[in-house]
Amino acid sequence: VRQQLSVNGRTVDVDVTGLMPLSTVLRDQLGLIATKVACGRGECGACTVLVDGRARMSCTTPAALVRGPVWTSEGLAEESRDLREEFADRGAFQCGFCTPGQVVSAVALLREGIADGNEDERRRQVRHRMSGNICRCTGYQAIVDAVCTVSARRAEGSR
Amino acid sequence: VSVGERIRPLDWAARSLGTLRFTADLPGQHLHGAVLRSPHPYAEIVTLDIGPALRMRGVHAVITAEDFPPGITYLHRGAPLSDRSPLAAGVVRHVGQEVAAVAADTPELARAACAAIRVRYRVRRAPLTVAEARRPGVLRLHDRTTAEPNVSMLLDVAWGDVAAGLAASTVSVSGSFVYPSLSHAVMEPNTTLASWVDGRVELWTSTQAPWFIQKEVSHLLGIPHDDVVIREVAVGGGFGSKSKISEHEVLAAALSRKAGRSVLLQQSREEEFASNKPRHRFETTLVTHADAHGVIRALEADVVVDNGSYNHMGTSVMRVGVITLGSMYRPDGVRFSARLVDTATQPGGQFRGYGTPQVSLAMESQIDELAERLGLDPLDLRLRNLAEENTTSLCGYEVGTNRLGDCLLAVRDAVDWTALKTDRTPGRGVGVAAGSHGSGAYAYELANRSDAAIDLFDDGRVRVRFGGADAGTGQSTILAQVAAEELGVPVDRVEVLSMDSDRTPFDLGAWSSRGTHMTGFSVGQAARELAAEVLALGAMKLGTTEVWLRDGAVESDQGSVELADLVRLSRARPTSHRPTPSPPTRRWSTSTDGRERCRSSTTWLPTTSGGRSTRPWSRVRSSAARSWAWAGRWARRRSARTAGSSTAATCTTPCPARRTCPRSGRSSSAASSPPGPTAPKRSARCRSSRRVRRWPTRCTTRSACASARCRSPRTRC
Repeated sequence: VRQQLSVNGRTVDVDVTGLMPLSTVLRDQLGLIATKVACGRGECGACTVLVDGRARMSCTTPAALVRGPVWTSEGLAEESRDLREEFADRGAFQCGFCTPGQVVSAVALLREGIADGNEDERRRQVRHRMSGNICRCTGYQAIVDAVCTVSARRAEGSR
Repeated sequence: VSVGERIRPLDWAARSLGTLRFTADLPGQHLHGAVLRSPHPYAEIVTLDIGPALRMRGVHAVITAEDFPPGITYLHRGAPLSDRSPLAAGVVRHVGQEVAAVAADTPELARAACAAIRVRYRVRRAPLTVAEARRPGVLRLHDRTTAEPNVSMLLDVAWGDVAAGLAASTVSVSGSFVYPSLSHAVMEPNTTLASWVDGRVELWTSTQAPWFIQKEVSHLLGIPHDDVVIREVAVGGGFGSKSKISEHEVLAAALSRKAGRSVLLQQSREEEFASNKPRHRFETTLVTHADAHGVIRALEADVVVDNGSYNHMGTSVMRVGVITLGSMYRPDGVRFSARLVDTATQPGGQFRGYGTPQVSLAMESQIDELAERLGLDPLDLRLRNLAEENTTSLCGYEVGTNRLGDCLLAVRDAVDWTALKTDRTPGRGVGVAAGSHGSGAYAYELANRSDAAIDLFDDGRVRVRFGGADAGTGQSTILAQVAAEELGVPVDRVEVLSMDSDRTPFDLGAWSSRGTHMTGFSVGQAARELAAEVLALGAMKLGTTEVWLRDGAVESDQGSVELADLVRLSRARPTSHRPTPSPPTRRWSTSTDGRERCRSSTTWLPTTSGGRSTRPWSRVRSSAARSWAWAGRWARRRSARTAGSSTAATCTTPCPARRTCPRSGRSSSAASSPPGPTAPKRSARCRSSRRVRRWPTRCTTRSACASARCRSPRTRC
């Protein structure tokens, strides 16, 4: 079934059959390979994309049900640049397979902003809200550090 | 200075954005593979009918054991330990064992075709645990060489003077410890893209050790080693699991051969858990004997290792595991028996630490117990038991220095050990454990050898080539830093090519922590030798001997010259200064036990004397790859093949002169692009100068042996 999707700000025609997951459409039809598939069942978060501004796991999201705009890691390259730099500086990724998903989740989180609170509370929020993104290399510490740092820096900048 | 600096990974931008291509991300139209797996732990295959799958539209190939040479098994540690066929040959021995594989237009179709294959099994009673497997009268999974049922390997060993140790002991603790099996759970599922063209197969595969893949795939398919070509691709985590062949590599290759098209075989997460090779489960019963001073005098152990259904790496994992007993501390004697027990479960494999953590769990737990019995501080007790330096350990390791004591003291100071130890906050505790890890191996031919190549281009770029892989450890970045340091160039001017078996020199891969230790050493060595050469040239140009390398130039008080210019200058030197192939000299270093420790060879050095000629020595070159290759030597097989032709061999730099193979007339320029509908036909057969009998131009080669034994200050060879 032909269907229109808005992906990374562009409207594209895709071919969707049955419950074909969004990740398959993005990867196989649109070549957006930053959407990685690691578990295929919505448990690891490597395939996270933004749908209507919310982080969603594209491997369990049927493309046929997607109405709102979709943003993948590629489309968020500019917005995530400082975050990715922070990831790189802190060793928040090694193999990098989960990283696009981590970054997309963090982008959604940073857009909403982390509620004010003390350092521990902020870290707890980041941990909680990124708990759907599994990383096997780093042990998460550096990821949480990077997101908190960027969040603080952006808050500082907007003041 | 770039070593020791905190820098971002070379490819950080693409890696963090997700545009770096892992195997499943490669472009092109491929067939998709799927594997039919056994639903039974132990069964005979009575009939196997692939007809229904073959008749399905869109199915291009179905393979079974019959598509491989009869009786062939994975090599692993060699006969008689080799026992696993690429697809089940009449018997399945664990749930998930590969029975057949399909290549079809879509993954869904491939899975449907697998489901359509009709297999009739005669189910046998399967021993699923080590206890069951060792019961008298149990069904045996294999014919093994030991007398006990389902014991693949039995080690009954005593090291040192056990009796004296026991006599001197006043206190003993005993206990049993189980270290369970454990999956690596790498983020990137194991994936292979195989493209078979004219008897030669190219593989993009998630691996830490391309060379092992080449070795096993060529063996199983019955083709020459060099006809299995591994290409560079990003690898999403290994933790050991990707350091030896799994099954997807050869199955994808065989499917591609049969279908005549490229095939992508990607394991699902379920397959990852069910069929990959997890950590071996160890049951360790240990008795630790110590004297009143807390010095461990003797260890007695009974170790039972759950091998799973096939040997895979079980035999060496068990050996490495028990070595902990005879290397970590210094008892008078150690006695153990270790059994590798076959069970009808998925075979265990290599996982970080390779058997050591399993045995360390028992030993370190008992040291704590001992400390409690003797009323000593556990950290202090370990300090009392430090292994000696400059000695041969009970297990036969030649130990130089031992910094465990410094390490423990550093920990004690850093965490304020005494305060933490006395803190009685509920739910909080502090503990210490020590472990040792060996890098490298003696189980394989050339196991401790790594070669590296460095190219210097006339635009000032430096390229490091190494045959291992970077599974996420930052290996490429580390090697770039090493080269940058030695050559005095900014690290962003260094690029790295890994994995490519056509264009990188011999390396067994990134496992056992050997990547930086061994390949890093080779890169450093090659870079130092290239630096010396460049400095000599620079000195000639600048007319002074006081020269040094900095910021991509040879500098002196009189001025400086860019490395890029030196490359160009080197091309203009008279022919007599061309790197002249002299007969390769080989230095074989052999230790007392006759085992090869280190092998290095010096081949072609530029000669600095001789007649004059005005002919430039770069005539065969066109613009693209004006490189100065400083290549590590290829493996023995390569040099053996090229012996007798002194102009042949070791240059692996793709130079324009070699783009077209005169024999086949085919182009190799697209050799590294993944197969796709528009990709030009690859041959890549005309890889190196050894096929094109032409002057290898500016290639000089050096080898660097990275054996720890031979390069340490206590060098032996």
